[in-house]
Amino acid sequence: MFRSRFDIKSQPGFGFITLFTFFALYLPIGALVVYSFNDAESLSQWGGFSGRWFVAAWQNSAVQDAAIRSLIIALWAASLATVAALMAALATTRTAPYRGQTLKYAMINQPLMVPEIVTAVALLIVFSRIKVWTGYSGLGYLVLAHTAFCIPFAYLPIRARLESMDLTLERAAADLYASRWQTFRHVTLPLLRPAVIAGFMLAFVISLDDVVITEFVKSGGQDTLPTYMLGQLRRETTPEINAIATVFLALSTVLVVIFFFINRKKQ
Amino acid sequence: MTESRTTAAHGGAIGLHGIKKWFGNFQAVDNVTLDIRPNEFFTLLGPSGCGKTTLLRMIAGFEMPTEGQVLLDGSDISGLLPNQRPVNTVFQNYALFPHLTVAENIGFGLKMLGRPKAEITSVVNDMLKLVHLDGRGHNPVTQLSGGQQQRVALARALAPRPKVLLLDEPLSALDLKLRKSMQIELKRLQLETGITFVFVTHDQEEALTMSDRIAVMSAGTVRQVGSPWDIYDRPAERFVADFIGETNFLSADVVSVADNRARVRLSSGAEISASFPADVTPNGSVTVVVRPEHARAGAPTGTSALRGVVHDIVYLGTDTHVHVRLDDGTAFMVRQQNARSGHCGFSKGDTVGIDFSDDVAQILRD
Repeated sequence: MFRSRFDIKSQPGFGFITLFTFFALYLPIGALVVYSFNDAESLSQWGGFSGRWFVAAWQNSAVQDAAIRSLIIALWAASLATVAALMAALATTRTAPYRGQTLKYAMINQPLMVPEIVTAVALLIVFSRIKVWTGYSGLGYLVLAHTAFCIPFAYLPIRARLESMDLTLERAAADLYASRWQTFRHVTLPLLRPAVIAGFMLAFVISLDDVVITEFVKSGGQDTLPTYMLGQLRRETTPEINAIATVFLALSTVLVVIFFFINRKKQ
Repeated sequence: MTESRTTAAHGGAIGLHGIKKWFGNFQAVDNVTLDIRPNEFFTLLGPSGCGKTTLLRMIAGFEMPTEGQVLLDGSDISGLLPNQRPVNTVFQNYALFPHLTVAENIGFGLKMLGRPKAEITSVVNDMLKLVHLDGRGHNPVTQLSGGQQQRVALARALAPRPKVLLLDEPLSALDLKLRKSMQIELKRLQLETGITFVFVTHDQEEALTMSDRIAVMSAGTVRQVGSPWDIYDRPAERFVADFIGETNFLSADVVSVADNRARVRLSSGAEISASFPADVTPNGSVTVVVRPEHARAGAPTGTSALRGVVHDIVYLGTDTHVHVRLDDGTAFMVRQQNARSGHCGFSKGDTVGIDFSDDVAQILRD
C-alpha cells in the first residue's frame, strides 16, 4: 500500500511523460541512424537501404584526414587534461582547507561556466599573436585549447573519487614505510584508476565533439571531423555526414559501455 | 633474564616528555609525560576525547606535538615522518588496501623497505601462520570477515618487525565473542614477538585483561599509571575509581597514619585501615573507596563496619548485587558471588551489617 501510493510510477501522467521524454531524446537520433543507411542522395527522402555512404565516407580522403586529426587532438588533449586534472584534484582534496579554496574550484571549472564562444574568440586573439611571434602554426594550438576545456570534465570524476576515498589508507601506507611517491604509486593511483579512466574518456569524447573553439582556433587545412561536417553543410549536403555521425554515435556508445563496465567491476 | 634478551632483540622503549597538543583553541593533550618500557603491553585507557588517540598518532608520526618530545629508545623521533619511524599501526577500521591480496597487504611494508622478494615471501608465510590465515594469502582482502581482516591488519603491521606496535581500538568493530578471543590472541602475539605494544581503548575490561601497565587518561592528562591491579585495587583518585569497574565511595576522617597505612573513622563510627597513594599524606576528612566484591553483607552485629537497609537486590546469574542505603544516607553496593543456587538470604527492607577485611579500602587523592 505505502509503496504503491508514493511510488513515482503510480503518479498520474508518469507513463505519458516518460514516453514523451524518450521520444524527444531518441527519435532524432534514431532518424539519423536510419537515414545514414539511406540509398538516396537527399538528406531527408528515403530511397532504399544501403551502406554506400559509410563506404563513401571511409574512402573520402578529406574525411579520413579530419578523422585522424580529431583522434590525434583528442588523444593528446584528453591525456594532458587528465594529468592536469589529477594533479588539480590531489591539490584540492589532499590539503587542509584554506581560504580561497572555493575560488580555486571555480577557476578549475571555469570552462564549464564561461560561454564557449567567449573562450573561442579569446583564444583566437591570443593564438594569432603567438603565431605571428613564433611562426608555429601546427596542431599544438588545437591540442592546447582542447586540453583547457577538457580539464574540468576529467577533474570532476577524479575529485569525486578522491573525496570518497578513505584517507587512512594513505596514512597506513606512510606508516608502512612508503614515501609520498610510493604511497601515490602503490595506493592512491591504483584506487583512483577507474576515476582516471572515466575522466580520460569524458575528456576524449568532449574533445572529439568540439566545434566552436576548434572552428575559431584552427588554421587552414586543420579541419577536425565536426568542423569538416559543419563545412559540408554549407555546400551540397549528402547522407555521408549522416554516416559519419552514426559512426560517432557508435564510438561514444562503446566508450560509455566500457566506462559502465569498469565502474561495475569496481563495485 | 629472558626479558632482557627479548628486549634487546625487539621491543623499543617510548618516552613521551612534556607533550602538549593544541588543535586551534582546543587542547587535546596537556603536558603528558610517560615512559613505556621495552617489551611491555601498555594501554592508554580513557573515555572518548581524552587525548589517547592523539598521543598514539604522535608516536606514529601522524601528528606533531605542539610542545614536548617523543623518544624511541632514548633518541628524539619528534621530527621524523611516519615512514621514517620503526613503528607500525593497527588502525581502528583496519585500513587494508582493497586492491591488494592478503599476502600483498602483509608484504606491503617490507616491499616499501626494498627487501628482496624471497625474504618478503617467507616473512608473509610466517605471518599468515602466526595469525592463523595459512592458505588465504591469495584471497582479496575484501572477501574476508571482520575478524579475518583484523588479523590481516595485525600481520601487516607486525611483518616489518617494528620496535613498537600501536593499536588504535582495534577490537571495537568486532562482536563480543570474537573480541574476547582476539584479546587472548593479541596477548599471545605480544609475548611471542617480544614487540612493545601500545594499545588504545575506552574498554576497561580489555585494558585489565591484556595490559602489563595501564595509563588512565582524562581531558588530555594522565590520571594514573600502574599495573591492572594497581589501577583497579589502588585507584589514586575519584575519576580512576569511577571509570574502572563499580565502586563505593565513603567519607571518613583520618585518625592516624603509620607505615603506608592509615586508620580512618567512618561515619558509622567504626575504624578501619586503608592504604593511600604514595605521593599523599592523608589528613582531615577524606574519601575512601571499597569495591563491591570486597564487602560482605550479613546480619548486623555490634562490630559491623557499616549498617544499612537493603533497598534493592539485582540477580545477575554469577553474582547478586545487594544495594544498601547506609544509616548516613550513602548508597552502598555489595556484590555476592552466587556460590549456591537460590535466594541470596536478604529481602528488601532488611537491616544488614556490612564488613570488609582491613586491606581493601583505599584513600583517594582529593
